[in-house]
Amino acid sequence: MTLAELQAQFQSSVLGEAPEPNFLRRLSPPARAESIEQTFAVYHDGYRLRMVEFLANDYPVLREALGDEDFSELVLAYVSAEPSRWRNARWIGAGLPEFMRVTPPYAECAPLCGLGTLEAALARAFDCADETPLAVEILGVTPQADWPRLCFAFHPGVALIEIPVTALACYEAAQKEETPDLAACGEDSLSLLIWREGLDVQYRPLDALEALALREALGGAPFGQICSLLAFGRPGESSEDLTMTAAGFLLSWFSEGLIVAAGPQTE
Amino acid sequence: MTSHRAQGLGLGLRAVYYPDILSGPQPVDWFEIISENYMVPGGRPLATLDRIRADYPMRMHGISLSIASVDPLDFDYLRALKNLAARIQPELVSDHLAWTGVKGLNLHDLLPVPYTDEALGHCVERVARVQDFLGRRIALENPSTYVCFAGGDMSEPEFLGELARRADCLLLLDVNNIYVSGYNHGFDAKAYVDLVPGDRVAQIHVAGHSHLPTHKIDTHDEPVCDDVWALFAHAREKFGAVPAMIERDDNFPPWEELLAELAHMRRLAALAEQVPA
Repeated sequence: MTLAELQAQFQSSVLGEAPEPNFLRRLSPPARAESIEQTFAVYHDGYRLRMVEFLANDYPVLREALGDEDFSELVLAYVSAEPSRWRNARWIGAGLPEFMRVTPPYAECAPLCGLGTLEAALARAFDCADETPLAVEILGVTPQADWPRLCFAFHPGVALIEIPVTALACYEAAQKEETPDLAACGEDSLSLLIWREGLDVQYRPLDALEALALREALGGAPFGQICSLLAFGRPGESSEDLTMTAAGFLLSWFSEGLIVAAGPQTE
Repeated sequence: MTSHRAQGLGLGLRAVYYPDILSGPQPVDWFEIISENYMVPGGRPLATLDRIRADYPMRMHGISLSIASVDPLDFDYLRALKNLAARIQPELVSDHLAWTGVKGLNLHDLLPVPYTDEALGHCVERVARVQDFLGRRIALENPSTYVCFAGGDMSEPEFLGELARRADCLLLLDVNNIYVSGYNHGFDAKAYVDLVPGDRVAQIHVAGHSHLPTHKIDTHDEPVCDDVWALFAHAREKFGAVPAMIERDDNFPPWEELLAELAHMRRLAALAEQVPA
């Protein structure tokens, strides 16, 4: 048996339900264990335990909300459908929220999916690239006539997610060492901004207007276009008031360290 | 170039101990990091690493090199490893004689290698390419194993010795792994140590393990047992003042308890130095 054949059979014996008998016959009898199946289980069962442990690090509240047994079942379903292709175990769980969104029975529980989305975004912000926030003074030196064409680049940790209110309630309950309750707050959703300020991950809910403005800004829309879009969110308001509202959002984003670059939109 | 035989006794750097380590000077000569824990874009892990690196020498120990895999070498991974090494200037970069997956998949485990001529040639060629890319010699650690393949061409220490000689790499001798594998496969751990080429040993690991009725598992979640300490003392008598450290990765004791274990290692190391080689 070549090295390539041996490794392929070893791997499929770990990933499969049970090791392949033909492969096990290639292994030396164990010195003390009763059977080779018993010692091969260190690899076979160890793989599953390790996957659960890795994902529990990234999704501690999801694990608490589901309970150990159901969380293990979720992780094993996930890694069975999407075995890791990552070299670094840090990112094994990155696809879990998407897997939950499209896989029953998880897809049918929006708060559970929301909790996964929230914890994934928090983990991503935690060790994303460092970038220096732009000082708000840039606005002072930008001629007012250029403001409508001003676009913004955001810190890599910035994320805007839509999750059920219950998902955030569960997360916050767990932070207070209370038991997360997936049925706590009904079916309403909220927009949540997640970012990293220095080394600390932060989050805050946004109202509908700020969420609309931020979504556009994250998509590269210039300030003028953002102001125009806000008119759809507040049909009765004057354009001057909307511009002031948008400027207020912008100042918050600067003070929170969300923005790392600003410049006029290029044609 | 820093000598791979630099002195001192260290500990594994683990996030749970950051507050203790940062609280003031610690009686630890150096720290070893798990390389992959810091192969991330930024944030608190790298910022903390930089702070601690300012006060202590460091060594890098990887778990994902997959040197024995038949998959192509992953140069994205190697580039990230090289960048981290450039950042922290480690005394040593090490990984394991193992593979972690094939066909593009990763089982995130250190899987056993058959000790055949084919596997040896494969590993020699890959170690040489990795060392060329990194611009430095690496050390490979003897694995703990739970199965072994029938029909090998040589023993594990012979394989490691030949690999080190032909690829001109170094060895990281994990005496707990030798003890665990010796128990599981029924070989004499002390005789294993005696077969290792001492001039290639750049570092020693000791750790605790789990004892099951029929086998032992290298879990790093218990204090080091007396048998492993005895094997460490034997290795120090044989190889001299090779840098050595304690690995602890789970069931973390209070920092003071880990320091007490390191102090025990220091006493054993001092005693071993008094024994004529």
